[in-house]
Amino acid sequence: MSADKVKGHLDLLLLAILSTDPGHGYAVITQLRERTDGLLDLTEGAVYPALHRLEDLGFLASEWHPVNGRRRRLYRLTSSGHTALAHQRTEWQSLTRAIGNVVSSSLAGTAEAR
Amino acid sequence: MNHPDESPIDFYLDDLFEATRALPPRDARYLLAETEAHLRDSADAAIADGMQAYEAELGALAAFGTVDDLVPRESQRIRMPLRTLAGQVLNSAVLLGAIGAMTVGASGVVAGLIYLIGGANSIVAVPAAVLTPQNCARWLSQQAAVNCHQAALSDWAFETVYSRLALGVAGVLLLVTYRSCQRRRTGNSGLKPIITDTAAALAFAVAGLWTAGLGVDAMIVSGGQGAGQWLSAAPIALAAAAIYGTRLAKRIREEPLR
Repeated sequence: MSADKVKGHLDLLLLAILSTDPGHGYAVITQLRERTDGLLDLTEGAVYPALHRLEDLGFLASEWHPVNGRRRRLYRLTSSGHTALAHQRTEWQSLTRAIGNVVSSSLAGTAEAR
Repeated sequence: MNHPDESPIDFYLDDLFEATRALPPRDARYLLAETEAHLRDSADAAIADGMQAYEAELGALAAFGTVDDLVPRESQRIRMPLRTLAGQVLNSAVLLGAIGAMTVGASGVVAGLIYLIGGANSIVAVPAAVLTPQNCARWLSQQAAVNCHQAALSDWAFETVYSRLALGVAGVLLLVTYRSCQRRRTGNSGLKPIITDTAAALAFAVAGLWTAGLGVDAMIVSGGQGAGQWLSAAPIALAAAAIYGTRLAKRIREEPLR
């Protein structure tokens, strides 16, 4: 899936990944890749400005932590972040349901026509 | 200085450091630290999978994206602090001021040539109102001249040429100091080149057209008396406007379409 398609949903993806455990940027990318079986083709560097923006919005908090001998910025969801995630998740579910309805009905129509 | 032990990641971080100079220091520091940790983690993971170190670093960089991709994304998030903006404006003003002073110096050279060819009359015009006994006494005491008008002409022409040359030398010194500070990175970075080029092209074009107009006016109204002071400046200013205009056009054409 191209980066453009991911772009609009990056906040939701990051919030969802960090909702379970705090993590640093590289771990977030790794989880994103693993959970999507590598389907999302995302420029890794794009994650950092997105994380910083979410922190500016108050959805994330961060602090430096030494991990495996390297200093890393560890991000965790704040209570506002959990609220934002719940809101964005509901929106996403509504959107996928709506698109799913249209696509499924068109598929059914095609099958009937055959 | 060559550092043979430096790797592609090091070079990338150098570029990133250079590109983040306009960001607030804390944001730049965070981005650099996080980027380095990420790239080294990514390369280490590839090395653990059996890849050679050099190829692993190139792979990590390819997946991470270019500095040109990363920094604009980060910059969009950050509103430039007024202090940084003021520093950039001051920095560009110093550079443009130095270049402006140097063009004035160059116009002093042209004015000097006009003076040598056409005499003081071609450089300055002295209105009768300033030929007071007091002024005349001062001018005549300073130089050998046949009358007060000639003494005034020589004095003013001398001042016109030498004050411009002095300003030109000051401009060169300012530019050398500026470049030295830039090399030592003790100064702020300036405004975007597209902004400074636009400002310089407009300022030089206005100055060039204005002085050309005054020169033509002096040719018509005063029979050429004093026209040299304007006509010595006009071609230099217009040439500087053309140089900056060309640079600006090149930048606009090279600017990626968004």
